[in-house]
Amino acid sequence: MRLEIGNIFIKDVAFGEKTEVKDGTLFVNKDELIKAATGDDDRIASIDVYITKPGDNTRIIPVKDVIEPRVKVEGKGGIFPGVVSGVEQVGSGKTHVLKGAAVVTTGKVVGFQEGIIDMSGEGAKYTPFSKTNNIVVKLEPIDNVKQHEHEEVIRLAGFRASNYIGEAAKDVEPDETKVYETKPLLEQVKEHPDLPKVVYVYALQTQGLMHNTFFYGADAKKIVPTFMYPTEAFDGAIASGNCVSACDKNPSYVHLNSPIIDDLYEKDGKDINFLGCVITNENVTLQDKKRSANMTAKLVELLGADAAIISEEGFGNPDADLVMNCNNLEEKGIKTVLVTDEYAGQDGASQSLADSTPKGDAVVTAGNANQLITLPVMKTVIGHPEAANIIAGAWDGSLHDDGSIEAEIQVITGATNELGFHTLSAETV
Amino acid sequence: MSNFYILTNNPMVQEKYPKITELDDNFSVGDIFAGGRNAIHLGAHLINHPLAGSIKPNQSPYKSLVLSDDKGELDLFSLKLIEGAIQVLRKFPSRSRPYDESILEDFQVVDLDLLDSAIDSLPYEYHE
Repeated sequence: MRLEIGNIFIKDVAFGEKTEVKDGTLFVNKDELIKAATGDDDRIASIDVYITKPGDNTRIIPVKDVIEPRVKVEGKGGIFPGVVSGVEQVGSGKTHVLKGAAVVTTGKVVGFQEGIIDMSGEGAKYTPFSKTNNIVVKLEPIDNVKQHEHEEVIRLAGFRASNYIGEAAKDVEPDETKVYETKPLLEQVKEHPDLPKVVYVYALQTQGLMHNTFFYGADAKKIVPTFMYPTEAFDGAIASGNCVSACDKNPSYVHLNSPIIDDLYEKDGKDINFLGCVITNENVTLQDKKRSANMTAKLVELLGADAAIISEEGFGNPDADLVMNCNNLEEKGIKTVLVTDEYAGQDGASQSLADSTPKGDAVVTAGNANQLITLPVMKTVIGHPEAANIIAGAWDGSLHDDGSIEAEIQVITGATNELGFHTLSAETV
Repeated sequence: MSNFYILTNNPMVQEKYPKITELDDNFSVGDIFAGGRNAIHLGAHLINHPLAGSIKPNQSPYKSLVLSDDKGELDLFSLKLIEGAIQVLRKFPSRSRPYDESILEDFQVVDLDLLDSAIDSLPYEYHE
């Protein structure tokens, strides 16, 4: 499967008469965008759209999802197949990307929801989405929409908005083109016969309301682990419905831009032979966990991998899946590298994960979510500022009288992203 | 008859699963974990993960555990998970604060949904 990604660099975003890209500026017709985002959903009472740019004195809270506008130019299907496009096989042909633009959805699904993006100041350093030109879609549902529906309403409106904007990329010549290719297994194995064969085990958050992920529209808690060509992710085969734990959830933007997949492609043919991805889930029952971990190990073994990268999404429960996948694969003689973040306490001295294994001897951390930060007052707040006092990682009194917020970095969208799509790094002292 | 039960402090769970729920709405999350650990020491298997959901245990006041009716031999896997959850709860600073009714309801709904997600995937009779 071969996919060309054509990046169109967006340096600025503004409202305009027509939704189009002109000399690196994305113009958005606000009324058309609202109409496209609303679709036929009569559960929506109102949608408002805001534009905010890097350096603005602006806070977005609570952030539900971040989505990158893309469009299929050649090849089957549309972006987010099975969700807002037909359920065609994606991942081949050509896709254009409005690189530098993002759709951010905000709206209070439940009272305790978190997720902060600060466009400047100390907080901006901790989120990659302070560097994107953000088109913020704020949605309010009609009265009496229950939490389940509310989550779905905002989720789908965000995807519709992003796909509408993505259309503007269709006839624009990309500034940069990247080609990604994975051949059918037996051919791929022959490509680099002397290099170690690596599979990526891509675990998806699938615990329930506000903790769901969709694969071609299928609720991923109900799938058994399966093979995915890595390029499928770049066309939105994986769509996020996860809006809890802002720091370490994987927004749809991150699934579209998975740094792990990107890095594995980078190393393919040089250091490794990247065979593809096995997607698996993170369910709540131990029975489901065992089934998925066993199926994952079986698939990775069947693919003939020498090694596997395993990522997780979330905190606590998914640590068990991470450890089970590690143990099962290592027991089959397949080397593993684990990618996670940590909840090691504010001083960083506590046990980082809720589970562990001596076999997990190669682990990449995305940072400590309990680290403290003080976020300054912002002139403009898009969303629901009162959420600051009751979000995860904050406490009674977090919101100071002067409007600044003292909290743990887990309140910031993408601060300790477990696919590595974030700004924290380590240095040797 | 199902061969498992729910230990919870979430009244919404009691309403939905009255026949298989043991509710004590005075219990804290720590009390639910301790109750689960006691049952595990008597032979119960833990059926759902005690840290289900990304909402931290020092944030939501509600917790629901699904436990098997087994008595007898200690299941070390269940014990490891419940002890791990107790450690996590201990390491986080207390974040208790007065929530208003609508936020308490939201916490109950999410806890119930995570539990539904467990019950939905279980066979009528649980086998370990």
